[in-house]
Amino acid sequence: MSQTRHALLPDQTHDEAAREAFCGSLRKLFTETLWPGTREVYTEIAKPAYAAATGHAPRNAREVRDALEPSFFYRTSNLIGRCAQELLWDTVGESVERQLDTLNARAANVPDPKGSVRTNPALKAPRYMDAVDIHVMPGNFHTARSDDDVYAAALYDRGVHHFAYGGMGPENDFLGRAMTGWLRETYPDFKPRHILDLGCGPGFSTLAWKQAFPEAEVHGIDISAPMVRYAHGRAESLGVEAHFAQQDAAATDFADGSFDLVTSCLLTHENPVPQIRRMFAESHRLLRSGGMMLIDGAHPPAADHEDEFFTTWFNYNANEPFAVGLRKLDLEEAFATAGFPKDAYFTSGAREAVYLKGMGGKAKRKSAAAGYRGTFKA
Amino acid sequence: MTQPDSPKRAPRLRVARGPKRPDYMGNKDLDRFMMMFTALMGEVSAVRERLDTHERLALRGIVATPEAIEAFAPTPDDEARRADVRAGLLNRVFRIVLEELEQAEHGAVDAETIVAAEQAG
Repeated sequence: MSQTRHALLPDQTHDEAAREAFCGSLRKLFTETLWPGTREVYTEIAKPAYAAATGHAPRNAREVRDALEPSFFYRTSNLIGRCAQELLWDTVGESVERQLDTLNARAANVPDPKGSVRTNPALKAPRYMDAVDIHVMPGNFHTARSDDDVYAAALYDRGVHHFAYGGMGPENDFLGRAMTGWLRETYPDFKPRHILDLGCGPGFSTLAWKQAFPEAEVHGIDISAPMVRYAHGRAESLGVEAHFAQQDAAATDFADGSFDLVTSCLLTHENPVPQIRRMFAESHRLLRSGGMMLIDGAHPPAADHEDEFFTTWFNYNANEPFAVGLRKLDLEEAFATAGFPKDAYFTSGAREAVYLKGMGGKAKRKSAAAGYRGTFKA
Repeated sequence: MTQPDSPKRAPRLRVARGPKRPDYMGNKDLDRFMMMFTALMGEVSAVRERLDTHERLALRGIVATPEAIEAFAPTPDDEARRADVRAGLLNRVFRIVLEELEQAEHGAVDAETIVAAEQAG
């Protein structure tokens, strides 16, 4: 599956396309064979050997790792997964670099825009964003290399496509489409007129919201200037009206009660819990009475210590250290603490994963995602 | 490698900040060699794909100039065939990695015990 062309999408030379496709194949091998295979090697070989040596089966996630550590398959699979992650960003990064002047200029000169973009040079990213490059993507989502830079966003748009080897869809929006589809199906009478998408990145989910509710005014905010510049140029090129602004989701400049729906997709699990709580409080302020807050849950709760081990690969191997905090956070309590009524909390329950991240076990087994969590303002 | 001369821009970062790279093989240098080895596989794969483009162009009677190679647009069938070639490359090079998985799926045979028993008559 190839990506829908738009003005900001990096092009590829023959060899760039070939190198990037190799990264996708490597990711696929890791996701569908190697990492699911570690669970089989564990069950059939490592666990019995550990039990024979110690007199007991592994009792916690650390002992599951200890049981697997002697396995060449386990260690090499892990390393190949890490190689794929590092190679992907560097390979796509070289291609983006070659054409960055052109992409920056296109983002800065969008013809006849229907939507808008605002950047804020005074806005500083929180310390934790400079400390940990999520997904081991050098520079993280927010590093701006010049005053008109879109590098991080171009890297992410093309990179995510290869990361999921096309499984996110031609516009990398399958997660957003699944979320908007669920909302429309579950709350058919809920018709938001003003929608805010927090941590919008290149606008994958933001555009899905506008397409689901064409009458609505849709805003996307991100702390990253390269992301909102790129999101604006991309949205205009794809013919979708949306408004983007560089803002901290925990302290925005919108007036109280500005929105009917405040939402985020793949945002919360990359943030530490105190920041998540601040975002929830800000969302409460931004919603009108009766407005909805809706987030995706990223990781399903672990069923046991073995499940915990086999579903946390990215936390320890691809710089997603904050996901563990979200997993342990009681969202019902967190929404209530942010000011939402306790009885307004809802969850979709586990949903079938939109694309396979390979963390659930054997590839042929259906992979579950945590689904959506939300609440309404009184 | 093409790096446009753009002094107003900070250089492209190639190393991620954050927690140290985990220790995989018990020797960090070995881990780094594996990174190089995997990147080199990507280069082999890209050369193989360029060769495939030469062959597809030849089938159409087109001389494979650099311009013709850049202008070549693979069909979905071409893409699918190339994906199979890449998977085949990985499957062959990483055969030894998959050894334990095959044992886990099919059950390991305790050859030494069987051979010893057979020899004992």
